[in-house]
Amino acid sequence: MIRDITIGRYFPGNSLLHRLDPRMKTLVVFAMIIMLFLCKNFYSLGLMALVIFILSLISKVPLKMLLKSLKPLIFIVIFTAVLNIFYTQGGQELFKFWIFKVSDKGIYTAVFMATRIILLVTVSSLLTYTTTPTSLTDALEKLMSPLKVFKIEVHTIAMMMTLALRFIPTLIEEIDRIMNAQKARGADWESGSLISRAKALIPILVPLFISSFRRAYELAFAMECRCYTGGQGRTRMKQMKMRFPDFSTAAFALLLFSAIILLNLNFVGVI
Amino acid sequence: MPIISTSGLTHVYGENTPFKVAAINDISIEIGKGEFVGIIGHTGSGKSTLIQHLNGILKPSAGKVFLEGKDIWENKKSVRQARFKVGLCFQYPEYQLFEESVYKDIAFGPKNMGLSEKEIDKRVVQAAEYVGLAASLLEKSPFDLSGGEKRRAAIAGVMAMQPAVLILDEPTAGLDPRGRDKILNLIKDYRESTGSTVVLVSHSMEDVAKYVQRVLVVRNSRLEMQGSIKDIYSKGELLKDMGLDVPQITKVFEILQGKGLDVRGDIFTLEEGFNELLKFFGKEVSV
Repeated sequence: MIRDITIGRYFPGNSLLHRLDPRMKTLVVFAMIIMLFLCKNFYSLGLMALVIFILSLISKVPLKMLLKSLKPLIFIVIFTAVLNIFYTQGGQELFKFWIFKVSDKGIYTAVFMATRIILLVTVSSLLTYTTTPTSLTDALEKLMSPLKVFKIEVHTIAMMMTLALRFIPTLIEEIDRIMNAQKARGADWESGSLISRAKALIPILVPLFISSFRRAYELAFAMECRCYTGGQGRTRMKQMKMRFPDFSTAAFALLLFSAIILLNLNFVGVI
Repeated sequence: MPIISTSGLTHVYGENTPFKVAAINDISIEIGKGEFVGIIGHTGSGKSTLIQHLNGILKPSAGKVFLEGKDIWENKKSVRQARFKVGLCFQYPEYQLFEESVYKDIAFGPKNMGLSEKEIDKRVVQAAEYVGLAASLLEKSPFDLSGGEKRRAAIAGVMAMQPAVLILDEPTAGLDPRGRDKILNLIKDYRESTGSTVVLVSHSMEDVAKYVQRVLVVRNSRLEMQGSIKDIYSKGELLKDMGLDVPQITKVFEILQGKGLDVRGDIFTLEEGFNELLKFFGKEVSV
């Protein structure tokens, strides 16, 4: 159950997407997210869907894994879609019951919003699937480094993210273990009322908090023992370098951006 | 009829992912009522996965688990029954403590069984006695106890359910020799006074040799061999090959034997060794 969480999970491989510079990947994914929000009609959204689909083929991440990352969001997708069906004003009325009116425009918007959310999640999971958490935070640290001007501790933030990501699997394992231990003592959080279910979480959360604090102390000691004093004067073993594929990716992103704008212009009024 | 048996038990972790591994493979075992069984194996051999099937924490990918002759996965109720009939104490059980007081924590299991207030109280007091926790400690917070006390409190939490079978996964991990002996002895006493079946999982041959009647050896996800301590230790080479070792005392006697002294080579506990030496020097053997 708890092992199904795929957010931030890396899928080992050696595809073109895996080899791209993480900085460029992050930037392009960020740009694509913006593009998804710029899409105004099904033509531009369709183009994005096609591109994201091709990217997932290139990444060689199994479709099943990608679908799995969508699983926790099914509820949100459906919720948004339903909300949009009923709350969109105007358009031709298709049918009506009680106080609800369903129009063609409503259904249009619902499908559009649902597709957009699915694409957003897919493109961002593609990034985490093809980039190890460490190189991702390294990239973020580099990309955010201009913020140092404003006295923002970029290195500390990046280190915190690295550590947080690093401990996700550990904590999942820990939760698994504690859950099993309490299950062995007859704990049951799959039946009963909502309140009793919430209460049943205490035997998991208390030990989890305690062990997290213990781990944090141990880790801090271990880091200090290895003379960690923060980011100042720290060098990197792995230097990131932009190469030809990275620049082509940037060019491709620009091309895609112009295509989206053009498609938006040409068919205004579809939605 | 054996109290627990498995047939062709197999468990695969992460099926349909690139991280797929078979943690246990085609394991068939039988554990008799009242038996004291040891399961030994190297770290990662699959012994922890194996025991988590015996009370229905893990669902087998293939194969069956029988508790008193009945398939525990027959229905939802039978799984829950198995949880209470087979008490499983995990490795480092002190990390499962969560209640405000030791008393409440030990009472967690019996409470989940739906017992009466009176019965719960009786069981908690009794379990605390089994593990040698003073009554004054029961009202303390479990987080104020020492490491050894925490461990014993956690074991009491499983004992309080009065399971027919008690399974302990590395109950002595991370303890000093004195703490180790204390825990193993209390488990032995518990078994003798309740007559329940006990399964002790360990990678330490020394622990196992001293207490159990029969040993199951797990290696590379499979049941490698099973038999009495003598049978297993007589295959010393194989054990070494597996990254396990015979007890130090056995090694000492093997060396003595190698030097041409007239002593037995199949000595597995300090006590046996002591008596054998007395015999060697022609002294009275103490019982």
